[in-house]
Order: sequence, then C-alpha cells, then structure tokens
Amino acid sequence: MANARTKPGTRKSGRVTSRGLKAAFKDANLLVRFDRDAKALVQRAASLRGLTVSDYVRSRIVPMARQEVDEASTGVLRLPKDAQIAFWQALQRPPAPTKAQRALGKLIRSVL
Amino acid sequence: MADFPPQGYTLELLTSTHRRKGFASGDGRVDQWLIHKALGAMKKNTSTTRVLVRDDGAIAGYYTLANTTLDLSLVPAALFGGTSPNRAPPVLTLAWLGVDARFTGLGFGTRLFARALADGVQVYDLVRFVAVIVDALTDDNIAFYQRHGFVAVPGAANKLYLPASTLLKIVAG
Repeated sequence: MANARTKPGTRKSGRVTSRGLKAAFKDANLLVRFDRDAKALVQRAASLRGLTVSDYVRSRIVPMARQEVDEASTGVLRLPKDAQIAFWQALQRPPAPTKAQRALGKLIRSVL
Repeated sequence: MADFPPQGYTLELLTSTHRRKGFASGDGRVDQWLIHKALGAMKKNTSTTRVLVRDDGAIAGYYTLANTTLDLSLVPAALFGGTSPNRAPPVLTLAWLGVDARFTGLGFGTRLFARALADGVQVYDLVRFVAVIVDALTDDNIAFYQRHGFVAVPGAANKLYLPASTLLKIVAG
C-alpha cells in the first residue's frame, strides 16, 4: 500500500512550499492511503499544476469538503460562479430529448 | 397497468416497523443511510424514503427524495434579463438509491430509479422544481445515470441532472 503523507508546508529540503496557500499555519497531519496507481495519478496532476502533492490535495479537497458540508447542512446546492452560470443557462434552454432520455421516459411510464 | 412494484412486493413509505438492520447493498454508505438516518430525516421532514418490501418483510431496495435549492446568487443579474430571482429555485434531489445484494439482477435498481422520477412527475403540478439532480457515489453510478440520459452538473463531479421540462416531455412521449 502506497502512502501519500502530507507533511504540511515543507518539502524534503525544508523549504516552505505553500505558495498561494498561506492562509493559516498548517500544524495538522492527514495520512491518506491510496493504491499505487491512484497515488501516481495524484502526483502527476499535482506536478502538472506545479504544486506539491500536499498543496494539490489541500487545494482540491478543502473546497469540495466545504461545499459538501454546506450542502448537507443547508439543503442548498452552492456551485462555484462559473458553474452556477453554466448550469442556469443549461436549464433555460434544454436541448431536445436525446435517445437515452426518450428511453428513460418510456421506462418511467412503465412504473407510473 | 404498472408492472411495479412486482407481484409479492409493495412500495411503502419508510416507518419504524420496517426491518432495516440487515440491509446490505454492498456499499456501506447506502446501507448506513437507510439503517440509521433515513427515518430521522423523514421525522424532520427533510427527505422522503420509500422502501420496496417483499411479502416476508425483507427490504429489497429503497430510494430517498429530498427538496433542495439551487443557489444562483453568483449569476449576474443581466443573465436573468435584469431581474435576479428573489429566491433560489427548488430542485428535486434523488439523494439515495440502493438495492440489497440478495435482490440484484432483478431490475429493481433501474425501476426504483424510474419510480423516483415518476414521483417527481406526479408532484410537479403541485410542487414545482427546475430539475432533478442525482448524487452518484461511484463511477458505476455515474455511468448508470448517464446511460439513462442524465447530464453532469457543471462544477460538481458526482452530480447529474435532468431539467424538469425534459422530464415532463419524455414522460408525455
């Protein structure tokens, strides 16, 4: 089992690496177990953005967790701005039903 | 005539008399919701769970529908034609759907899903909503909903939707 140990704020060299994410002092560890492929994938995604794995995981997971907690406690789906706009526009002009959607309609009629 | 629920089964609103403890779908989250949370949510009026019960009392499957709302506070007023909606539009959320592993291969998952959407169709005239949203827990779930015509919600990796107008259109045939 491969580990992705997220030691906050430091790299092997000891340099501070939390560029752009220096909100609060990070003094809590979160140890997450991945399978090897998933870990390699996360490392690759992080390097594509020029981030450490720690910074990458933090930048992705924290907003997602915040959204989910918020949603669970309020029953409100709060998307990022671009997503709100895209979703609202998609709802204004739904395209003609696809073949899959028409088949779904038939399925719903069968249980009505 | 509807062929659901099948002979020997009934579809019932979840109550404390239903034997929930043994429910095992293979996904712990789906089981925990039914066993520990679903009834409390019914009592608090935050969601509705219907269970597919076999004559001997075994729960074959269930689904949970909830009313949620869609926050549009970040959409520029210009996109609404100058006036933003003064309240967040309501959405019907299929929050949970599960079939006990002993009842797989019978098409219950698909038909419970369809029945949940049928519930949406039936309430629409009286209680409006702009879309049905599903929460997909796994990649297989996502593929399942996509196969049935659901579309990814922008900015939410595990949610898919169907516009209410599309739902009504496809059911009208």
